[in-house]
Amino acid sequence: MDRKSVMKRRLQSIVIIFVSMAIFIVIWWALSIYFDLNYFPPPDVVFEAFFDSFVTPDPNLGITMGQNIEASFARFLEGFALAFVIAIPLGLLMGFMPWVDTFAKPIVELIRPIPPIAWVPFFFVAFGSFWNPVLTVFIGVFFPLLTNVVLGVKSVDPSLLDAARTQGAGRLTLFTKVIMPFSVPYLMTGVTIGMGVGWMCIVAAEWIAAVGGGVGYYILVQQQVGNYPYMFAGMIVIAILGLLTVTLSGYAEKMIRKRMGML
Amino acid sequence: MVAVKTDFLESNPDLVARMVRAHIDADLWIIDALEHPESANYTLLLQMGATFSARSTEVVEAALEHIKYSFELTPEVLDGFADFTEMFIDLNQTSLGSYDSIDDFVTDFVNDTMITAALSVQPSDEVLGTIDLGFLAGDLHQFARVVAMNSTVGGGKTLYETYGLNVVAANPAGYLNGGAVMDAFAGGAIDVGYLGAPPAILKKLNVGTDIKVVALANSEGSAILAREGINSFAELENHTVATPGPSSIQHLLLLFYAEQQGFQMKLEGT
Repeated sequence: MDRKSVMKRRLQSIVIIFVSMAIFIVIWWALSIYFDLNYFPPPDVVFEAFFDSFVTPDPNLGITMGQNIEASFARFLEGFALAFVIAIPLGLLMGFMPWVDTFAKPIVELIRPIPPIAWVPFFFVAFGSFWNPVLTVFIGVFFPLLTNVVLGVKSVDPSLLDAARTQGAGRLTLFTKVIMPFSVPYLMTGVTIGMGVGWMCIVAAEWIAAVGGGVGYYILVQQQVGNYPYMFAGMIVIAILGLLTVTLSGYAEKMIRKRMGML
Repeated sequence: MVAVKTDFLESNPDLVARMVRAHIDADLWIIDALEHPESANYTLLLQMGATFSARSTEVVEAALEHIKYSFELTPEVLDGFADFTEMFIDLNQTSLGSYDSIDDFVTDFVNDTMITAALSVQPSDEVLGTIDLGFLAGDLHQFARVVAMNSTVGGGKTLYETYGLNVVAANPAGYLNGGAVMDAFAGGAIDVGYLGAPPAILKKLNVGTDIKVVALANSEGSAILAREGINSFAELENHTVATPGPSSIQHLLLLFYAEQQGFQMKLEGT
């Protein structure tokens, strides 16, 4: 494809995205006017609340939306980091050593179907309001990471392993020089999925309590006092944060795949 | 307090009067039982409280000492509603909107005619209608509801049944807070609800959820529980306090009292 047609296609996409967003907002507007419910505010009211939430501290929390985002984001990163340091070594081992896989799999498969949110009431009482959201994010991110790392290790091309072996690579070298690098793109797929799940977890986990605020906690508080435009503003913040992190991680995933010649 | 969705009240005043009558009878039954600690009714009261609040009878008994049960919407009660409204306005939580004054709002918030109407209600063998009821989880303040739903109290029939009502609990486990009860009103899940005044005031003003207060359920009875070693309000300094949420009466009273005592409250970790 030449440069011109690429540009043309890009422009087309931009126009379509613009139209789709416009239609979304018009439908939202129409529905909120049609139903005329006070708890379903129209877009202009929500956008006004959205911008105001960054400027005016919330009367209940005494902090602005920026500070709530900071609190949630820190928790999100902590949960993510925890999942990272546990899921990656475990996943590599499970993929590399069959007995570890056989040993860990029943436990993993038993816990994996439990929605992260179902852990919230237990985590809250067992670990307190600081660790509860962190651990909930951890659970949400851990399993997509783990399964993708295991998949990555298991997908290593046997001819690559043979080639390395004929050149005298031992088990450790195989593991560090072939298997680990090969599973990175798979790991990144897990990271991208985890990014999406992580934000869903944090909102629900903050619903019981959150030290230093948080966007999930913010949403709950606005519901309780009946400040629905601000509640929707909080929902939009979560949407933007989720979109940003997933897009960034998706981009990183693509770059890594490209560098490793997998695209 | 007992609140009714305004359109339900307008189209079913008789059912509401019957509901209020069952509430009054239950209330009087509780007051009578509390005045006679040696009676069988008192024992039954403690047992009922223990069952639905999932606490021991000792805990229920201790709690009951601090709760005042009454159904009347006296001028003092209305003043209390006005005070709560004023506090919320001062806290920037709400504004009067289209109401001219706080009194104007309170007048619209309350309908005290149902208590009078309830007094002339007669028992009915026939089921005259169904009411979807909402209430809080394990809240002893709303004891009248538990008593009215108990068939031993009514002699084989619940008080609701006695007055010809089929009362259905929309959420049998109870809602988590008054804000949720107000949302149940707004979402059409309930016709009548037991909840505290502050969340009702907030959501009526902020969201326009249209309800009327038709009777009181209790006054007083909110307490601060502290870890061992904390024996006065002042000793709470630099400690973390939890409340049932920013729209609850406990939260509001805590804010109010803390300020009065010269303390400043802030969100933990900020």
